[in-house]
Amino acid sequence: MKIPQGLTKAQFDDVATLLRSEAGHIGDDILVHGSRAKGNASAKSDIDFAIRVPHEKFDAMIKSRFGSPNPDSAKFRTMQHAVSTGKIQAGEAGLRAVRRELQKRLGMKADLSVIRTGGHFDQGPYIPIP
Amino acid sequence: MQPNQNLYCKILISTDVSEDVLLKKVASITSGRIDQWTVVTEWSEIDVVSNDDFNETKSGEVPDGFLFYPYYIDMEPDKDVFCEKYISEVGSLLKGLWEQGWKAVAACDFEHELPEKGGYRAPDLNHSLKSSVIGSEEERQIPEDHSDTNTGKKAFLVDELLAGRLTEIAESKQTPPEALIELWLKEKILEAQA
Repeated sequence: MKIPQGLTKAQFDDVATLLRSEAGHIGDDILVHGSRAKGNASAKSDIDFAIRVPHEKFDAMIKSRFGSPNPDSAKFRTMQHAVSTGKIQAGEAGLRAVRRELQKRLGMKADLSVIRTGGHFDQGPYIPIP
Repeated sequence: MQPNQNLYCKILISTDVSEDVLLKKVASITSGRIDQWTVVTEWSEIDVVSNDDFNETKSGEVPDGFLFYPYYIDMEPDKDVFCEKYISEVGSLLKGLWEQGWKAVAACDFEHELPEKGGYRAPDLNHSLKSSVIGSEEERQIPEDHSDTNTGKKAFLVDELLAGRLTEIAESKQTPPEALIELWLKEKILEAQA
């Protein structure tokens, strides 16, 4: 099994269990991407986790998480941005607590987002969580 | 606020300072304590995050450059915190960020209840920044020419060349010159006190 740069196998198993338990309801295709998957991370690099979901699931999440914001609002623009980039960040996805727990367990900054299959952010290399 | 409305709030922030400095400033504004990359207050836990979408060029675009600011903070109310208090605290935090001379825009369901409607498309934002920098309406006589800048009760004449440079920098940062002066003065004073 491939391990993200800077993590031990025990750490990776631990966060995989956490993610399956706390974010598995969103999707089971959970991946590490970015520099720690590529292997070119620096000591200060964060670790990027993504839950990759199909188009329909992504659109449903946009509707349920953003609601119907006023078209003249900044929130509406953040929603449009999420749609155009194919990425819902942790806060909007309701995953702040999971992001914080990942950071506590790993002692490094962590990012967690929901990405749309085939979207702008669906770019490897990836390391799937076990 | 309507019942069951989403109280999650994200504030996107444009500043040149490091993430650590931003974290400390948020803690200072909210009288919170720092726990890793979170500021814990009596009304919310506020996460400080580097924005993956940061793009210096796009961040200067109007009105949607805020999507590309280098940082954001996000928050939700702690349970047992009244909605009105939470929204009031978010508003105070937003004003505190503006008072640093930083650009900040709130994105949430209650933007319209925040100062300057959260800062998005806020034509009066410059006015509020000036007010916080240079005091009450009675005290100030804002000159049209930036070469004579009134800071509170004292007016400082600024060399024409410096005034020109100041205006250029202010325009490039889309920040009022008065806010820049205050920010720089604060930094110098802090340096002198260190």
